[in-house]
Amino acid sequence: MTFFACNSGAKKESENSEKDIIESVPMNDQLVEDLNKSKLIFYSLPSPLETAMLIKRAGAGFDPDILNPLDNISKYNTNFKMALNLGIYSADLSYASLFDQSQTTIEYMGNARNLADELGILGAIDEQTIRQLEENMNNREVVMNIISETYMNSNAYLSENNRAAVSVIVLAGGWIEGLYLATSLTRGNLQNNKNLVERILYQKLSLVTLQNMMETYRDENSDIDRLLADMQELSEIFDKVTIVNTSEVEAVTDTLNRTTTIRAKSEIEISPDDYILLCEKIAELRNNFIS
Amino acid sequence: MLNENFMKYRLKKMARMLTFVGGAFLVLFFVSVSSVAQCSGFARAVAKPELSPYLHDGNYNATILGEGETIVLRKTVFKGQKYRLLVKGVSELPKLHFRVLDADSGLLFDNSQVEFASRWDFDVQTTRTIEVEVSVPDDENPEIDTGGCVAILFGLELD
Repeated sequence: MTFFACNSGAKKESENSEKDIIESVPMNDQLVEDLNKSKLIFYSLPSPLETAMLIKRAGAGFDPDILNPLDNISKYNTNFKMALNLGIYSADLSYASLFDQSQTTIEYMGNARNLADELGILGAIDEQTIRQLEENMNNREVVMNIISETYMNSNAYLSENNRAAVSVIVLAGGWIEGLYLATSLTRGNLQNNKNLVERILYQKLSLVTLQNMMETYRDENSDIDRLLADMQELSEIFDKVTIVNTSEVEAVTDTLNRTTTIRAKSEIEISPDDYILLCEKIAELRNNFIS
Repeated sequence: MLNENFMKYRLKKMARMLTFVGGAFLVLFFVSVSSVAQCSGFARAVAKPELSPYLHDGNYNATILGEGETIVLRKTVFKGQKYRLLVKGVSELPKLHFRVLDADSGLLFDNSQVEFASRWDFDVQTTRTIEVEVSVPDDENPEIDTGGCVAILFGLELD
């Protein structure tokens, strides 16, 4: 099954003299040399909110049966399990919030708070956060802002208190849960919601980001070493996804409004059997994490 | 007796020095912890509001950078989602220079072409990985090295 990302909806730059076209420049030795001088590299994964928005935008619905049951929290008695499932519950509550599942959002925020407290993440999620959620249950934008703020507060606290490795585990948990939610909604079938399937297959790129992120901390934290092994198994299946760019990348910038559209065409492909394998591996990893 | 007094004098002097050094370490420790903590405060209170009306994706990317230093952030951006990239430094820093590069092909955006603007709105027609390279230019005063918090935040356009 082949997917095409088409270059549609082109703007008519000739109609507006104030719009400039900045064409992409091939990588040259100077650019490569400049990049190599960089002292510090950050890796940014799709956050639970971003993943939930991708799911919703692809036209998928809400299924409460695929969330990590709230009662499972009693099983999480190690820092590793707590951090992973803080990420997982964060993904679940982001997904619920986008579909206006207010009560579910509040309940899952409660679980996230409990895990954050157990991990010693001070001030990220407190009584005031829960109260604000309850008071603004019907205002999706406010709810999403609260979720975004608590996620940032948790990660900032961990990063700034020499616990960046724990932050990476939280991020990994959130990412795998987002992937699990998305694949569950397709029921392992390439024909079920092609938009969503395409977004799932492109997570191959995010997996590389996650692996790079974890490599940075593998020597500091043996749990990350274990996670890397899990992600390697997943990577071997994602290797069966082929992504081919079929056009040059062109950045068209409207300098007046400071908005750019990055145009390109690509093909992404996986066989139906390999897609089933991918969904099964994601479910296996996720179910290990929540057990 | 003389030796005893001399030893007492030496011990007192050492104690004073150790107190001074210990105190200096404590000051440095609290200053550094305070600086790092101020970075998240800066990201939250100063940088994040500039993402509005886009929703902050929740990821925290901020650090302390000095003149002449560069950082790179790698992120996958998805087809169909419109983003706001914000690169913001504390006021003590010179205007930040940032470029956005496609992992496969090259330069997509350079803020030096738009008066070192701190934000860039964009969308992509094909999902891809991009790199945001942020540099703190050297200012004109070689005797003073300026450094401070730099935050790189992404916002998501809501439907």
